[in-house]
Amino acid sequence: MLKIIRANGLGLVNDLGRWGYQHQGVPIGGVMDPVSLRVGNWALGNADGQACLELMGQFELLCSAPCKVLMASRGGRMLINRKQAVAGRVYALEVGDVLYIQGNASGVWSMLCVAGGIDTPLVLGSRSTCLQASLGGLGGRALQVGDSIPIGQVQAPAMADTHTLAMPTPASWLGHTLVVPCLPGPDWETLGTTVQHAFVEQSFSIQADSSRMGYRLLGDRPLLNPSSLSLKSHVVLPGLVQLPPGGHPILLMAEAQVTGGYPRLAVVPQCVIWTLAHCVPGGRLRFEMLNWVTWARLNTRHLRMMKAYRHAIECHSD
Amino acid sequence: MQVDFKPHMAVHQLAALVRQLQTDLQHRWPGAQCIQTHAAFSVMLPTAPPDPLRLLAQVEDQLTALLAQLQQSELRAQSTRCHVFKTHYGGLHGEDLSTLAEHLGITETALIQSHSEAEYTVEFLGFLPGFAYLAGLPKALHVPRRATPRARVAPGTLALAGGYCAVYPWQSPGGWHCIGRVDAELFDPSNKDRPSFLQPGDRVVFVPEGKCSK
Repeated sequence: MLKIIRANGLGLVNDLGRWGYQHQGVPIGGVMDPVSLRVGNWALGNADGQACLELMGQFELLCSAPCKVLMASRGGRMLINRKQAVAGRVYALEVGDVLYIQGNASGVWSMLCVAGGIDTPLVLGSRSTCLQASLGGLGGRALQVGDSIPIGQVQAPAMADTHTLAMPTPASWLGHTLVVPCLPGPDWETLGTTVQHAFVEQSFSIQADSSRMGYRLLGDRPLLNPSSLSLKSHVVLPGLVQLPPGGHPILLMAEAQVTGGYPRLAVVPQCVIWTLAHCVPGGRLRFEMLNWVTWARLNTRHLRMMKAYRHAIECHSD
Repeated sequence: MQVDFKPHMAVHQLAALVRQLQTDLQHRWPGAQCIQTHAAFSVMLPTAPPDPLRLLAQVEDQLTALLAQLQQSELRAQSTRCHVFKTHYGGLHGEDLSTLAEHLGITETALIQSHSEAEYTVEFLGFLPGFAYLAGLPKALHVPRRATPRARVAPGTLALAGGYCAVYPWQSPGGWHCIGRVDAELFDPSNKDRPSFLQPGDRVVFVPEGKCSK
């Protein structure tokens, strides 16, 4: 068991999201970076989608029963009993050990995985916290000082604690404009060439009112939609770029709601969207259009990377 | 991955079709979801398939076959559920009732009468878990959203905007015009099959329970 003894920021129990209830209005949710969560879980002998603690800010946890932990996210900082610890390495905690975790600009969301997984009750097939509807997580709310985090049964041995995995690298927002590959969205053609050109020719900055639901993007020229395309609601999902009437696109992220009415300009594919997990307001990005061939190349490269992680973990497990 | 379809049929028929398709598609693609929206539905898969265009063709084939099959039999057999909501118009939860009536140039009583005489159909769920978009609002009550959304709308609030009305299942920010309150449990996470009380195709009637005193 882990006990929260300091909570400056937002701490959530999250897994790969609540898939399968979108027709009931339930957002998918889950961690911002599902790729690192998967790898972290594999390294601890967990199943793919075991829940972790996803923390933004400064947190301190006290170990009250021996367990193995691993920081799945790069960036950020972790200390165990005031000694530096690294991401991608299994640490065996003893009773009384204190874990200090602090995010930073290159790792806003720290993901702490535990062997056996966080064992809060499954709600509609997931442990992810949906704050709007107080579903999942620890009592449907954010973590607080004094909370005891239950940990599940260990299923399989973890990777050897002598090995450090180089965890997946999310995109760095610092100092340069990120190039984000995307596919044309369902309304791309209808929106016309003026909007299309304005979308790919300029860079956008991430606005301060961005959240886990979506990043608000501001360009120099608004993407004014000449077709006065009025759309009734449709299904939306993480990775979709919406175009509201003001002409400033919104890139939907992990906690996107399930329906929306704005034209769908583009889609950032699943194999890319996780790299944008650690958004920093003021960060800049630019979109680059993919076609099915270039998308397939990216996707294959991504699958190869995941396979390499599997292999590396197997090689360093007993 | 997501694919849209726009068949021409009534909301409750579409709802029945979508339910059937969801079951059928899951046999072939585990985790596949069919989600109904306005006069359309989308199919979503949990991960991107290696060959999306081929899969798209396969899904379309399966849909065409099912549509032909379903239109003949099951769609007609589906009956729809009807819910009656006792409604407290106005009061603390319906703080926009008077301004909205004024804006429309009618009395509060006329607004309540107009709203409660109509029969509504759940078109789709979205925005929040269990939040049902109810179609069937009289044309006279079609208004755009409020210029400034409220930071906090209480659960149970009955509100309207953009040709729809809805009852907020949870406290949330909201840009719709709040006209009253309904006491109903709209979302039950322990019901794994259908956690939302209102389902696409369901009919809803609002019955005034006397205007709440302020």
